[in-house]
Amino acid sequence: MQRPSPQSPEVVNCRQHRPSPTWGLHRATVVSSFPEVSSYHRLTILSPVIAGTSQPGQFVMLRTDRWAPLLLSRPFDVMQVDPAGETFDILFRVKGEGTRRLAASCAGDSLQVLGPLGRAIELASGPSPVGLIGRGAGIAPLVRIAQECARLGMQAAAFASARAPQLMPALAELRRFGVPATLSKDSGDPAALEASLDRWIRDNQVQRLYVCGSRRLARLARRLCRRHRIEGFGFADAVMACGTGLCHGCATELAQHRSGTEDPDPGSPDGPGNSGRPRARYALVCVEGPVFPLDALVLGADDASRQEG
Amino acid sequence: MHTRLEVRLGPLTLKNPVMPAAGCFNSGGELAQAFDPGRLGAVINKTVMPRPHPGNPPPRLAETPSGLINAIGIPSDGPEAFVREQLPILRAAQTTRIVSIGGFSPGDFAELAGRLAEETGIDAFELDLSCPNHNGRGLFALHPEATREVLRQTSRQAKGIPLIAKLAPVVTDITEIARAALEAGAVAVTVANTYPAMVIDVDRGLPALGNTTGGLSGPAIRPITLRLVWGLGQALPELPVIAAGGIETAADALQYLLAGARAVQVGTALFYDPLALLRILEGLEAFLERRGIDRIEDLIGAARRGGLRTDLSREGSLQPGG
Repeated sequence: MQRPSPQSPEVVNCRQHRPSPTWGLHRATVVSSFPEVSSYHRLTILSPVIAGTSQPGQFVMLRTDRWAPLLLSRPFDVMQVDPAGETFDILFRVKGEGTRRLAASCAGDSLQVLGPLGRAIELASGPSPVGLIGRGAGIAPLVRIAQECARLGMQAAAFASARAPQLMPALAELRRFGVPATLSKDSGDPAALEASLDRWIRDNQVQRLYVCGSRRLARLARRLCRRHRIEGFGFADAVMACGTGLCHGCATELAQHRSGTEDPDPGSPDGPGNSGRPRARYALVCVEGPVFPLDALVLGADDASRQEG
Repeated sequence: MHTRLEVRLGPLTLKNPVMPAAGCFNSGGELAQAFDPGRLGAVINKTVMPRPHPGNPPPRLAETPSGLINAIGIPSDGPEAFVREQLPILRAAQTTRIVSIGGFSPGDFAELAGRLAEETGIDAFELDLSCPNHNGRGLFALHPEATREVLRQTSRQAKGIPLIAKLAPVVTDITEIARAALEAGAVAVTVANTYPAMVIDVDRGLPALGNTTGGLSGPAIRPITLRLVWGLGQALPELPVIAAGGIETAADALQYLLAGARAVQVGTALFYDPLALLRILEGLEAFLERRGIDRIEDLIGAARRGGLRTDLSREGSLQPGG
């Protein structure tokens, strides 16, 4: 596994998150399969292990029994767990063959689940109220945080963004966990969005932010975290194959290496004679994430469309 | 009974023919929570590079029908970090330990082998002469002479540790390259690496991978790599071959063994089935039992010697490709 250098403060921050507990390969059963608004879909899955042991921030890899010619399982954040009922829920947008097959699964169908995967979020020891900023299916892992906040008796507030309010799934879940949700129609005006986020942070006295589902929102959140001097974390997105750290495919670039002063490696494509840019360094989203401090993430230019929904 | 699955691979004896493919297993630490890597015929690390190397920019993966294109680009923390952090994990497995090494010049391989040969517990080096993800650099296995030079220089520094050459699949004549490796000191070849490939994301109108191109693996390549193994067995019957290409099941592994491979590597399947190596191992054992074959060595290359005895009194069959 590629390990970022220990001296970088962002990575030290990452390490505050608890190490992933042991994952396992489990059989699971679809309990209900329910199309939500727009092209969202929700699955409730019977899996005592995931329901009983997965923590906020963690994810699972899923596949149906007949999957070929698809090869790779698909990663999904856990939206909520019901340990008593031994089920967990996922929410996703149907946008490819894998999500189509999962959406087509019916109650009683068998699934293969690998998990729980990824580093859990350390909620109890951090400051609150907790702010949750999400867009589209990116609201799912925030609902899981809301659930945990409710369990711990911590205050939380949500800011949900979509083109239209009826396109925001899972708002009922946030309400169920007692988390007030501010809805934001995507007006396309960045200044207005920033102003309403700024107001939301102040009104709810947010001390720690989690953002998922939009790079544009993540960039805004990072700026506001710096302004308000509060902690901010983002869910990194990546194409993922294994979820277990084996393939090194889900690399995400870490911000501090953009301005690093270390000697570029002459044996690397980024070495001298190429661009003169310092060597990029990456973290693996599956085993070092999926949640990173916003300051550690490279959030790119205005390419939010890639991640939204 | 415990030697039923044992195979000879040049000077090495493997307890069974099933091992991971380099780059798909790290050093075994992750999968050790699912099964004991010491049960495998060999373990092999994610290729170590002569200097710290970041790997390619994301996206690094693109799925295709029955296939996976990767453009990981061999991220490595270099030899000293490898010796400190990865080698102890590899060494903990009570089986043959193969260390995969990479580089951009023959001197890189020689230097790296020389450095690592100072360490204990390494049974063989696999030289990655065929990674398609460095934009042509380090693709020594495209040319017999370049292959020969890497092997020649590395064998002088490797202090007698056997060398295995991992070959590129897309070449005019893989036999020439395998022969060059053998003549310059390799004891075996791994056939083969991934196939250069790419995907264009039509939505963005751009290549899907950060590196533009990558290497195709998975069941899509299995019949093509199988034919390479078959051809090598015909041209160089004495050459020990480790097959790697799209193996998901024991039946897939058997195809390669029947074609003449002495061992098999499993890569991509580990990404969606962490227990694939174990399943394949147990499947091979079950096949031998079912077919009344005493030693797995007896079926290596059997497809070119008239096939397997079909005994209708025994139950069960295994369809290739199943």
